Amino acid sequence: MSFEGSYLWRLRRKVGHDLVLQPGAAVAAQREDGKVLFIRRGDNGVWSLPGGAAEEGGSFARTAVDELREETGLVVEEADLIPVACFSDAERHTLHYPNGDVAHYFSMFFLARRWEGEPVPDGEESLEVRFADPTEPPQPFEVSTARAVELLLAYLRTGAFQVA
Amino acid sequence: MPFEGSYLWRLRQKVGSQTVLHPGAMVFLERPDGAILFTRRVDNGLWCLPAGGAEEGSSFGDTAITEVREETGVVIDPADLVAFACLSEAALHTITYPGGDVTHCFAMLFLARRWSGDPRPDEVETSEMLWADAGSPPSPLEPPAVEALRLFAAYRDTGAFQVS
Repeated sequence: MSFEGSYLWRLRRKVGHDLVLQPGAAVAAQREDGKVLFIRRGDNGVWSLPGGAAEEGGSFARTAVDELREETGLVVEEADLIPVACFSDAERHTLHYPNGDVAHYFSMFFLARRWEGEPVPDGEESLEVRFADPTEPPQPFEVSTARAVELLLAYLRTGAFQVA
Repeated sequence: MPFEGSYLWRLRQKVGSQTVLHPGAMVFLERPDGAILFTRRVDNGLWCLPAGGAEEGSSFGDTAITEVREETGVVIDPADLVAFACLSEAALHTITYPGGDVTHCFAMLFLARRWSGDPRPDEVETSEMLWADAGSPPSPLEPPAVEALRLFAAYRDTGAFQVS
């Protein structure tokens, strides 16, 4: 959903810009040629993986499905989400927004290799979408994206769930 | 840390009892004979596993280590934590506290087979503890612990990270 009306938006009306610890999820949609879908974010104009904050009534997996659909138009089934990592270290996953909001994300990071639809930006949360080799994300990208890509590559190399 | 002064306590001063989505961690301590450590909560008398909510500056792993140390006195090395599941479905992991606060927990579940120290209840959050086979837990169990045991059994059967 758009930020306005979201759980985090409602929380912000009571806590202002204060640091919030926020559950979330991110998804790497990977094609057969190994390329992964990146989006250019509407809020700060830089490249990242599709993802976002959890909503009331949801879950890590539901957040991943919803954010991927909203930001790229791709529809993935929860059963097709492959757990890659948790990503929550404060140093790498605290985001400072242009308006002054600060959020420390405690996220699940999933890989998806099956979906329906063709990727298109929604023009609001995502301005562009692009498949790229995960070792060379489109520039400029966020610190958190660089870390997420490291976790993905470690998972692809070892098959082991990564903890961060 | 005690609830008063914690991140969630400070958030509650601003948002009241409304549903908060809160990241956290739960830990299965497993002895060589396969027995798991169960703890009994002071506030509601139900059996569960060491667990709690994240604090500012932490991570899922930090939260696991801190909660185990506070509730049981044992110390786990971060390298000895194995993430085996996430537990975040709203219907399965929303807790209503005696005072009316509602928290939807987005938890990472960890297994630890090595630690230092002997577990003992802190008498603040935990009144009692016992080792039991995961298939014959003490009762009454907290509902999220029931789901956590299901995820643990599935992980032991398959070796695969479980998503809930």
